[in-house]
Amino acid sequence: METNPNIEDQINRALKSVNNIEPVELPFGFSDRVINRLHTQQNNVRSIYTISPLLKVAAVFVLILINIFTLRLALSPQPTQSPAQFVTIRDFVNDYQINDTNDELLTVNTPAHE
Amino acid sequence: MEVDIQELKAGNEQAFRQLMSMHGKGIFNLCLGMIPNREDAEDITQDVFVEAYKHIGSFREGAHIKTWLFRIALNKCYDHIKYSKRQKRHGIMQSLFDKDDNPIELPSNFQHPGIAIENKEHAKALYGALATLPENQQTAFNLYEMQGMDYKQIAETMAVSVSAVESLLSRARAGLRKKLQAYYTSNASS
Repeated sequence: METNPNIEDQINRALKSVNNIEPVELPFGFSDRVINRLHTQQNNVRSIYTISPLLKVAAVFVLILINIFTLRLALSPQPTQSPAQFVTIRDFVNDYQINDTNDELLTVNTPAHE
Repeated sequence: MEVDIQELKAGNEQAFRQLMSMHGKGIFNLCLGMIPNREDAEDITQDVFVEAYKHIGSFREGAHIKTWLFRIALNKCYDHIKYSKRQKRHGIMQSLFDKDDNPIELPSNFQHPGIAIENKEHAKALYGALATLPENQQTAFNLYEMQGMDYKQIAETMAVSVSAVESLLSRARAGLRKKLQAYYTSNASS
């Protein structure tokens, strides 16, 4: 496609518009502003370091509390589970699989010598 | 005369001031080339030197400090461009109702003190077209056309080969031509 000569001229002028850029001087006081920024940032960093020991102590304190809580839980007496109440001695036997017990013993309540 | 790197690493303020007086102008003009606004470019140049001061310990001796500073500056400029694009995305509703169907978006706060007044309108169009190109093409074009660097220096700054620089420049010019043609054609017809 052929380009309009006027448009072609404008394109060339646009492309060449940045060829002869004059180097621009740094604004006055640039170095001082950078140095001030550095000093400000260094002061901020220092103030963070003054807080950090407090944070460390707080973190250690929280850890100690968690440990104490865990130890107390571990050492506290567990609620004793009541052994299962057997309604009859047969239930007891069934539960513990006492095979060598004969029925006679279970059924006869009276002593043998009577 | 180069700045004493050991003094810089030791945190010597005087050496740091010397570094700024030697390379400040170059960095500022590089930033102006990427972001054509005097205030933004100055802010970014300040950021570059703050960053350099903080990370001078990681600077490898034997390397060129100018190249190192230029790389920091380019990264800062990319960050700024990304941030500006994100800000513009918030104005999506506005763009939906915007009747202006120009193929390129002219920079709204264009203020480059180094460009002659008679070239300002064309330079604005060029910056608008440049903003549509990929970052590496923008950088290569800026370093070659605006900073006057040669291929070797650009290759070192961008950490690419010389042939890659040639290719980037050729693609950048082709892309710019295409965008500018669409822009001027749409302006002529409207």
